[in-house]
This record gives sequence, C-alpha cells and structure tokens, in this order.
Amino acid sequence: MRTLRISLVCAFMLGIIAARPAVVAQTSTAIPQDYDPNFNYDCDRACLDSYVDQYLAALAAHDPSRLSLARQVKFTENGQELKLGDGLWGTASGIGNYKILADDPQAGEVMFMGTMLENGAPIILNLRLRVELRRITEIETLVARKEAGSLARPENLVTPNPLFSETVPPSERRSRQNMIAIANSYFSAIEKGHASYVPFDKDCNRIESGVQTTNNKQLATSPDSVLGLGCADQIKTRNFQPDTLIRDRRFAVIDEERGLVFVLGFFDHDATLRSYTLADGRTVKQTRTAPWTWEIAEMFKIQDGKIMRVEAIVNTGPYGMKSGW
Amino acid sequence: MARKLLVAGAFAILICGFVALRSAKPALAAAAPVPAAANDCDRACLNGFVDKFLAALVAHDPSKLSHTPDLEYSENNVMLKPGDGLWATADGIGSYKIYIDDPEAGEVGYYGVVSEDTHPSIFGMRMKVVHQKVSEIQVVLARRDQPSSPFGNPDNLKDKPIFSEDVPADKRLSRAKLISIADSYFSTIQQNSGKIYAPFAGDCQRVENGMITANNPNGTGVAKQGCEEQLNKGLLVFVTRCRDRRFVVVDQQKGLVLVNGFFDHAGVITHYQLTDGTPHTVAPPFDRPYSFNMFELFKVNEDGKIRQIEAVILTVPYHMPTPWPPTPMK
Repeated sequence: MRTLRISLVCAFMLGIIAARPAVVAQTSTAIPQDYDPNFNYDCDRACLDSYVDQYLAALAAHDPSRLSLARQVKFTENGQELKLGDGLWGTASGIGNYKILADDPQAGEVMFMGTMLENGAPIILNLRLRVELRRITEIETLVARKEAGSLARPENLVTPNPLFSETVPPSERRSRQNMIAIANSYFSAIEKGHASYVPFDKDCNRIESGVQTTNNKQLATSPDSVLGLGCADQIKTRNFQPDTLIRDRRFAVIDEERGLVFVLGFFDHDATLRSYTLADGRTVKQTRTAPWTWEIAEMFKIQDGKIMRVEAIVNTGPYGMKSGW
Repeated sequence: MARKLLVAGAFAILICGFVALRSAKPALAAAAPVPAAANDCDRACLNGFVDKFLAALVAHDPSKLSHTPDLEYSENNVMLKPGDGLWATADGIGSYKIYIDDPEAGEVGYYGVVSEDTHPSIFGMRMKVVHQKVSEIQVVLARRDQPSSPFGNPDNLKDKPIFSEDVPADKRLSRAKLISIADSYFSTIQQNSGKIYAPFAGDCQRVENGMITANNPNGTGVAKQGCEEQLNKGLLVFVTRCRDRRFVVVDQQKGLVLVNGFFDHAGVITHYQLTDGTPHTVAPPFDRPYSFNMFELFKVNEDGKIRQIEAVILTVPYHMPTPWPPTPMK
C-alpha cells in the first residue's frame, strides 16, 4: 500500500515535471529570470506578434519597463543608438490603425510597419524586434515624420493591402534563399537600370512612406515623371540612374508563410550625374546638386515567385550614413 | 505675433546653440598632450593647407593635397573616402573666408562658401596637419536646397574684420580659459534655465547659417535681443543636451575658439514658461526628437567676454554620434 502511495506521488510529481514546459509555454508572461532548460522558449508567429503589441503599448505609455528585455539590449532609431526611453519613447502619444506584420520564427525576428501618433501627429514606424529565449535583444526602428523635406504622408496610410496578411499556398511558396534573391534583384535592377530579371507581377504596385509611387497618374504631372508607370516599366525607363549605390542591404525578416521579405538598407546618391539619357533617348537634368542618402525599410510581397507589392519607408539622411547594425 | 517672434528667436538661438558637451569631466579625462611633431606648421603654413585643400576639392582630386596615407575625412558627420561626397560635386569657392589657426595643435579651421553645380552652400571645416601632411579633415555643410539646413543663406555672409583682429600679445587668454568660455556658452543653453554661465559682451552678436540671430540691428523680436538677454529668459529649455562638445581649434592670437558638437532636442517639452512667466509653446521641429550638428566659432575679447559667435548648422538624425574622438579641454 505504501509502495503504491509512493508510486502515485512519484507519478504525480513526474507528471508535473513532464507537464511543466507545456504549462509555462502557454503563460508567456512567466519567463524565467535565468535560463531554465525545462522552459519552452519556442516563439511562434503569435508569440512574436505579441512582442510587437507589447512594444507598441509600452512605447505609447513611455515605459520601457513593460518590455520583456534581455540583460543586454541594443536599440536604434533612424540609425542612431539610443537609450530605451529616449527618442520616440518620449514623444509617442498613441498607436495607429495601420499595421503590417512579418514573422520569422526560424530567426526569432518580427517586423512591424505601421502608424503611430507623436505628440498627436501621425507618423510612420518601422520596427524590427529580435527575440531570443523569450526576451527582446534587438530593437531597430525607423521613424518617418511629415516634416520639411520629408516624403512621408502618414495620413494616407489607412488600411493595409490585404495581400500582406494573406497566407501564400504552400505550393506557391519559395525558399528563404529564393525570396532573398527576388528582393535583391529589385535593388540590383534599380542600381543597374535593368528590369528584365526582376520577377514583377503585372499588377505590382509600390507605396513609399504613404505615397503610391507606381501607376499614380495624379502625381505624374511632369512629362519626365515615372510615377504613372508600373513597377517594371519605371525601371525600364532608366530613370533611376541618380541612385548610385544601394548599400548595406540586410534581408532582415523572411516570412515564408506570408511571402514577405523585409529589407533594410540605404540608397546613396553621389550627385555627380548632372544629366542622363533615358531609354527612349530623352535627356533629363538632375535637379539635386548635392550628395544625399535615403535610409529605407522596404517590404516585398512575393507569391509564386512574383513581386506582387512593395511597401517602403524612405528617410533622408546625411550622405553615406550607417545603420548602426 | 510676439509668440511667433519668440519661436523664431528660439529657433535661432537653438540653432546657434547647438554644440554639445556632456560635462567637462569626460573631456578632461580624455585630454592628451599636443604632439610636438605637429608644431612645424605656422599660421601661414596652416592657411596654405586650407587653400590647397579647397583647390583639390574643386579639382575633384585628393592627390593634389599632401596628406597622410590614412587621411580621415568626414562630411556632415559621416566618414567618407576622400574623393567621395563634396570632393565629387564642388565646383567653386566663394570669397567669404575666415581662418582660425592653432599652430600649437597643428589644427586650422575655416569658414567659407562652396558651390555645387553653382548652388552655394555655407561651409565650415577643420583640418589637422602633421609633419606637413594633412591627417584629418572634418567638413560641415549647410546646404540651402536641403531640409538639413534650417537657415542657410550664403549671400548674407559678409566679412567680419573682428575675426582677423589680433589680441595684444600681453593680453591673450590661455587655451584652457578660452575653451572654458566657449564651453560655458553651451552649458548656458543646455536645458536653459535662465542661469547665465557665459561671459557675454554687451554688443555680442551671433550669426547662424548666414542669419544674424542675436543683436541684429535690423531684426525684430528675439533676433534684436542680445546674446545674454535671449538666454536669461530660459527660452531654450527644450535643448536637452549640448553634446560631444569638441574644442577643435584654439587661436590665442586672435582670441578664437572653434567648437564642433551637437544639440539634441528630445521633443518631450512642448509647453513651458519663460523665467518671467510668459507661456511658450515649442514649435516644430523641436517638438520631436531632433538634433543639430555644428561648428560654432567664438571671438573672445581680451577681457574674456564673448563678442561674436558664428555657426554652421546641419540637421542630423536624433542623437547621431560624432565619428571623431573627444578633444582635450586644455
């Protein structure tokens, strides 16, 4: 009888131990202070998304202590390393409605592109979080504000294109490496002026900092403007020759399930080209006379090997500036 | 109207104010002796290197400047390869010129105007010369056609003889004293409480990116006020940090100090009261995280008072660090 009781107790305790990882994994708030080999640290898509929600809420509350942080965290805003609490942490005043998420559970990375309020004014935020052992280790942000000289029109961002949240059927998914190659071909095409090897879908469109910059006849007011053309046709005009170097491309988040690739990098313009000849023989004068750089976050929706949509944040920065990563 | 003027004035002072230093201590800790080898280039020699640099710049050819193999070149706070950036676009040098010479440290500063495809920009720089070779060049450009320069009007830059007047040999201030005076200006502006640390001359005037922003005889509102009067009201309380103040060129003969640094505005103060109780609203862009990088030149009279301030100011991403090491405080 006593043996049976001991066996039952042991079985019960073993049951507790065996059940522990599953139980803890469901209550993600109870992250062990120190590494616990019995804890289930897996962080799936929903888990990664919850870190974005946690971040945005903490940001709006100006309270970094609400974050599940690793002991060492690196935080940058617009390429500059800041202390958590500084920068947008001091000025954010609300979370917007526009939200695109890309999850990369394999890498423990998640990317958010959406809107926020800053002292009451709408802004665009791009956020990359790296989560390791259920704690945030890296925070990289790009903030686009509507201000003098800025391209940003955050007020235009109301509802994201549903394509970004649609799951790509398994038969139409591509490997991580192939998705990177497709996104990379876009930048190489702009740099080299050859569109032929970029697999654009015929209905491809691009939004930059809230402005649709393809197939936008309304903005195409001058004869030299390419804004009325599609993704491929714009590049074929050879209009992007002032983009000297597309540098430090980082394929930061690969979401195979949704077919999303998030790229961070820079467009350098050395401004040495005073005029250039388009594919149709016309000569265009370069209006900007001094070197400048765009810091970008650019997202590609890829389905069946084709680029369906491009959405980006573009910030002007000092020529040659670095990302801090 | 008064508020508008106040805002304009605040912007002006801000702009002028933006150099930075966290505190004297870290810079003191970083103090290093001036290398003796740097002393083989006198004032005329240093100025000659500036002229050679400008000629090489317009020729788009770094090889026309005698420089060390590892010449460090920064432009608008980013390290670039010599030949890139302004080296490739500069096509003219204007007649406005201020030289600041520091033979003891082998450093020379220069303010002027440079054009790119005929568009003039306000130009500030400093250069280090070692053994008759240029080893460091730091350039800050305020370009009129870019949002990075809040003011920028090269046409308004007129010669100011005060910057080239010698201080009598027996009345020159020590390097440490000159640096301390320049530093006090930034300490006055940082989180500007209204307390004045800087010794301003009564006729102190300030020019920022070509605009007279203090003691402007033709100005209105804040710009008409003197250097001290603007700051004793606490107008610039929203300047969070005057950071990484680097005292790069000290010209004892002329009583000049050239400083490079940053003004950080965290954007967290949107409303405040001046020391006299006047309510004030912070206007864009200072209501959001926003930084300036600048060169700021001080003319200090023989009595130790700041007489003239001239700044070249550039907007940079909030809290952008300097790519250069700290400078000695002595």
